[in-house]
Amino acid sequence: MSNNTLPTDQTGTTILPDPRQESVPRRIGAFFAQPVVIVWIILVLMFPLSRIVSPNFPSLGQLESTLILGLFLVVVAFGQGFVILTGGFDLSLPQTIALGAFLTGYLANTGWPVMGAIVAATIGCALIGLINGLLVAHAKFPPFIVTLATGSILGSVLLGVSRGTPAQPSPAALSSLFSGKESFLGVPTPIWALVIFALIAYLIQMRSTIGRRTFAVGNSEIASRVAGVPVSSTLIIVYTIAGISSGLAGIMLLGYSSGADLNIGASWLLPSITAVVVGGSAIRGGAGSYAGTIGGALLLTVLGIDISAAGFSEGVKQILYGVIILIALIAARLGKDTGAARI
Amino acid sequence: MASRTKKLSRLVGAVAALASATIMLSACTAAPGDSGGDGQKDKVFLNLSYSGNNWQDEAANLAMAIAEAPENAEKYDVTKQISGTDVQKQISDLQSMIASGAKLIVSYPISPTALKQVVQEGCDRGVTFVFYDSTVNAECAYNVAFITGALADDPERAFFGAQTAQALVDLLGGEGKIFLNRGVAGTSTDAVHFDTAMAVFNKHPGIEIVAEFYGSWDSSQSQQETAKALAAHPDVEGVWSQDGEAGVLKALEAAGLEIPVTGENSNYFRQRLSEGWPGVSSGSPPAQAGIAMKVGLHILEHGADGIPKNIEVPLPWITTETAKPCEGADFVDGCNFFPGEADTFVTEVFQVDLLPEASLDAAKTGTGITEVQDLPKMTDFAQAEWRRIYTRDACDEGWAEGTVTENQIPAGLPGCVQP
Repeated sequence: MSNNTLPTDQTGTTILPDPRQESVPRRIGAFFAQPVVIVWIILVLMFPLSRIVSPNFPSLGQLESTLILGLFLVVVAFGQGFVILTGGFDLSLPQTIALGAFLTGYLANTGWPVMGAIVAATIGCALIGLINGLLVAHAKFPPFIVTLATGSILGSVLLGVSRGTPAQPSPAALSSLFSGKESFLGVPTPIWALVIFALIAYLIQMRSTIGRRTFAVGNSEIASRVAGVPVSSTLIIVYTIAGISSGLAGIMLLGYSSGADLNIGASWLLPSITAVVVGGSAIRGGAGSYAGTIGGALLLTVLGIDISAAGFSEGVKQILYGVIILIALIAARLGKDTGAARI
Repeated sequence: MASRTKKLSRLVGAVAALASATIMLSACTAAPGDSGGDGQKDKVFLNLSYSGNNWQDEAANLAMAIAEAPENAEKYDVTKQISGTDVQKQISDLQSMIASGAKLIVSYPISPTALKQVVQEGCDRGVTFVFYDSTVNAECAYNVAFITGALADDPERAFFGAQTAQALVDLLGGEGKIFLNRGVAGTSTDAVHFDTAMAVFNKHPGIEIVAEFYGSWDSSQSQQETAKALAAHPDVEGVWSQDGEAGVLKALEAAGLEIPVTGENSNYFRQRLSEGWPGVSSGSPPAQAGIAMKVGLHILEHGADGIPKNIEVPLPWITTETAKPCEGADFVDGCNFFPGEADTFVTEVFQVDLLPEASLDAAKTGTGITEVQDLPKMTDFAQAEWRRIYTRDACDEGWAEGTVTENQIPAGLPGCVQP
C-alpha cells in the first residue's frame, strides 16, 4: 500500500518525503508571510496609493525625495538594528550623530583635509560605541542605562567644548555630495550613497561572521557561550559598529544641510527604533533582517512625504503616522504567525 | 549568596559615601549665600532651556557678557545653568536658585503657565525675575519679548506672524500657493505667530496654503520638511517660515526654486536676500537676553521705577533691498549680517537702543563688553495694553478681552479693549 503512495528509487527503497520540502504554493505562501516581504510590499504599494493624497503623486520626484531623505534613516537604523539584534538599545545615538557632524565640521574648518576630518570623526564615534560595548559586555549593565548615560555625558561635553560655535559649517565637498543637487549617471549622489551603504551594511549584518554571531548572541547569550561564540567581543564590536553608523549619519546630515548644530541628532532616536521594528525585527533581539530595516526606513520616509502632501493638521498627521505603523506591525505579526504555523 | 551580600554592603557603602560628599558639598556652597550680609556679592542666575543651537548660545553669551562686564562683575556673582526641555526640571532648578539666595534670575522660560507658581514663590522671597523671548504669566515677572513686537519705524504694525504674512502676500501680489513652516508644536510662541499670520492669510482668498509643517525652529528639520512638501507641490510659489528658514532656502535651492520667503534672522537667509532672493527677514533677536540681563541688573541697582513689567522688543525688518554684509564685527552703516559666520548664526545680536554695547565677540564668547550703556527711557518700550493677552493670558485691570480695531495693523485681531 505504501508503494502506491510513496515513490521508490531504483533499488526499491522507499523515498520518504523531506520534511523541509513543502509544496510550491505553500512555499510561496511562506515567502509572502515573511515580515520583510510584507514591509516591501506595503512600501511598493504606497507609491500608487499616494495618488489619494496628491494628484501630483506618484512621481519621480516623490521617489527621489524618498530615497534622499530615507538615506539618513537607513544609516541610523542599521546601527540601531544591530544593537536591537543583541537585545539592547542605543540611546546615545542622537549625541553620537552630533559628534560625527560637529567633529567633521570643526576639523575641516581648522584646516584638516575633508577626508581626514571624516575619518577622525568616524573614529571618534567608534570610540563612543566601544565604550558602550565595554560597559555592556564586561560590566553587564543594562544597555538602556549605559547608552543613556554615555549619551548624556557626550552631549554635555559637546556643549562645553563647542562654546560659542555650536553650529559647524560643512566642507563644500561634503555639501555637494549630500545636498541632492549633484547627480551621477542621472541619479542624485545621495541615492548612490544609499545603495552603497545598504549593500555594505547588508553584507555585515547578514553575511559576515560578526553578523551571524550577533544573531546567536541575541537569541541566547548562554547558548552562544556554550557553543563557543565570543559573546563579549561580539557585543563590543556591535556597539562600535553602531557608533560608526551614527557618526556616518551625522556626517551625511552635515553635508545635506551644509551645516549642523548640536541638536542635529535629536529627531532620529525614535525613528531609528521604529524603522527596525516596522522592518520586522524582534524588539527583544535575535531575529530580523537588514533588508526589512531598509524597507521599514523607506516606508516611514514615504509615509512622512505622503502625510505632508495630504495637508492634514499636525495632530491628524501624528495620529495617521501612529496608525499606519501599527498596521505595518500587525501585518508583520500576522505574517509571522501564519508563517510559523506552516513550518 | 555571600558574595551578593558583600556586593550589597559595598554598594550601600558607596551610596553613603556619595551622599555624605553631596551634603558636604552643598553645605560649602550654601554657606556664603546664607550669610548674605555686607561684603558678599549678590547672586545672579542665568537659566536656559534647551541649548546647542546658535540662537540659545548667542542669547546666553550676550546675557553673560553683560553680567560679567567689569562694573557688574565686581558686584555680582553670576551662574549659568541649562535646564533642558523638561519643564519640571526648570521648575526644580528655579527652586534651587531661590533656595540658594538668588537676587536675580534671568531665564528663557519653557512654559508661560507651568512656571507661574514657582516664580510667584520666588518673588515673595524677594527674587527679581526677568524672562526673555518667551513669557511667563506670573504678575511679578518681567517679560522682555518680541512676540507681540512692532516695527521700530511703524509701531502700529505689530506681530511677527502678521507682518511677515502680509509681506509674503504683498510679494506674491495677493495670490499663490504657499507653505507654512511652523516652530515647535504646542508652544505659545508658535501659536501667536501662526494665529496672527492666519488672520492675514484668511483675508486673501487668492492665497492657498498647500502644506503646513513643523520645522521646530531648526534648520535641518525645516529643510527635510520643506523637501517632503516639495515632493507633492513642486509648483509652490512662496514660503512663510519661522526660525529654520535657512533650511527652507536650502531645500528650495536643491529643487531649483527661487521664490519669496519670509523668515527669521539667520545669516544664510540675509546673505541670500542681499544677493537678490525675494523675501523679508524678521523675528526673534538673541539680543533680548542681553536686554533682559540689563533690565534685571538695573532693577537690583536702582529699583524698578520706570521699568515696565511688559517690555516689547521692536521687530527687526530686513528686506531684499536692505540686506547688507558687515565687514567688521559691528552693525555699522546699515549692515546687518556677518558673511564669515555659520549659516545658522542669528544675526540680531545688537539692538540699537537697548543693547548698543553688544559685539559679535560678546555673542560668540560671552565676554568682551567693557562698558554697559544705560538703559534708555524704558516706558517707550512698554507693550501696548491691547496686546497683553498674548503674553500674560489676561488683560490689565480696566481692560477686557475683545477685538482690537484701532491703533494696530492688522486690525481685527483678538486682544484687550477698554469697555
